[in-house]
Amino acid sequence: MPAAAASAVAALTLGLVGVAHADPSPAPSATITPSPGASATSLQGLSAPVRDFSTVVESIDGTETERASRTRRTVILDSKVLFAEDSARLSGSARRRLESVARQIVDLRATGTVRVDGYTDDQGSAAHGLVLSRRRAEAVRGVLAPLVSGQDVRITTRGRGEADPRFPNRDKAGRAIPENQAKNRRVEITFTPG
Amino acid sequence: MGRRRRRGRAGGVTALAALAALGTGCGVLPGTGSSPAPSVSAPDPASPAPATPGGAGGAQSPAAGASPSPSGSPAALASKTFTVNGTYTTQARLRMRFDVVELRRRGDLLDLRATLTNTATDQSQDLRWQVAGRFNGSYRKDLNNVGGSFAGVVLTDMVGKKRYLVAADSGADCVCSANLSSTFVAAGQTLELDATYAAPPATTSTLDVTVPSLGTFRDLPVS
Repeated sequence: MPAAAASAVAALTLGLVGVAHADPSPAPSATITPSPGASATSLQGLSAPVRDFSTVVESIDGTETERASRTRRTVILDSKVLFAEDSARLSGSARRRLESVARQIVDLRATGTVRVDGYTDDQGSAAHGLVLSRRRAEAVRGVLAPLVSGQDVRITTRGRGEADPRFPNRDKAGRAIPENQAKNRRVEITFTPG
Repeated sequence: MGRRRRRGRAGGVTALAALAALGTGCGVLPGTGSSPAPSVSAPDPASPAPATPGGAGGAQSPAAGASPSPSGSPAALASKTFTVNGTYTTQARLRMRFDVVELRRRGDLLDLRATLTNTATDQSQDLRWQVAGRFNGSYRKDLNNVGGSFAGVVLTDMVGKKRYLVAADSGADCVCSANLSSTFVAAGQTLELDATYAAPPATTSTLDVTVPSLGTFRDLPVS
């Protein structure tokens, strides 16, 4: 590889300079980079197409997660902040949480479809999980719809049941992992910023 | 992969070590087998300056609220030293220094830069340390390249009550230093580490930086 060869020559030259000057600098200055290709900062100043990064921001209590890219934003809300256990009835704190999501949909001038997907963990029957998660998604739409009515979007709902867990519900021995199950009980609201 | 020097400020001993490494071909030092060795790189105009004294570009001076260590790099926002066993000379206890160099906004994103320095000066032994999974953390196990990466570092905005996890690219790789499983930090060497996050709101001026196994550096200024 010519580039590598050129670099080696450069390294050799610089190395010799280092010897000749016997720089007394106490700071170790050999610097290594583990993965230049994967370095985000190395992209600065390049005209290569910008990769579509997705970022993740959580609330400190972990009950709300936002995944964002240029083309899509997903807000993931723990079921426990929206619903009573095993119920599709919205809790007192649900409205405030959903108002904040609606504000994003409006502020980011979302277009097209806002998808509301309900999910459960793997407890209970799969059929029950599908019904519960669909009812929960519909309850969320019921709050969101009037809040985003000025926006040119349509809201679709799906009950996904125990599909696509965020984290494994059980360990290899089949024992439940309650903190993971809690994170899998959720509603995901996905929209496209305009 | 060639071994390239990032800066020509090395002391004689280090320079000789670099020359010796060059003599072995593709940067493979004795004992590393065929694993890709980290590159000692030449100045790269596309990269920010490394964290050597005076080299940290627009980095702010250490904040009063930060926790700079007397032994840390003067340009660092915060530093911490810790001790590890050498990877090949396992009875050797190595003092490593971790420096947070900067938290810099870049549009909607924020870049964290840090360095890891092997402070050992004895060149007569093989005092390398293999970083391996030290900084993997547990927050982003959903990504492909988390094993041996800098993906476990999280930023916390205590005012906005948000936690920022490392960003991913469209291939579900973290946007961070990776390949650390095959990265060794030799005596006197400094390893550059970086990770990219969503930028916090403009009103956020400081963040806490939590590094797996090293703890939390509090109230570091965002530039």
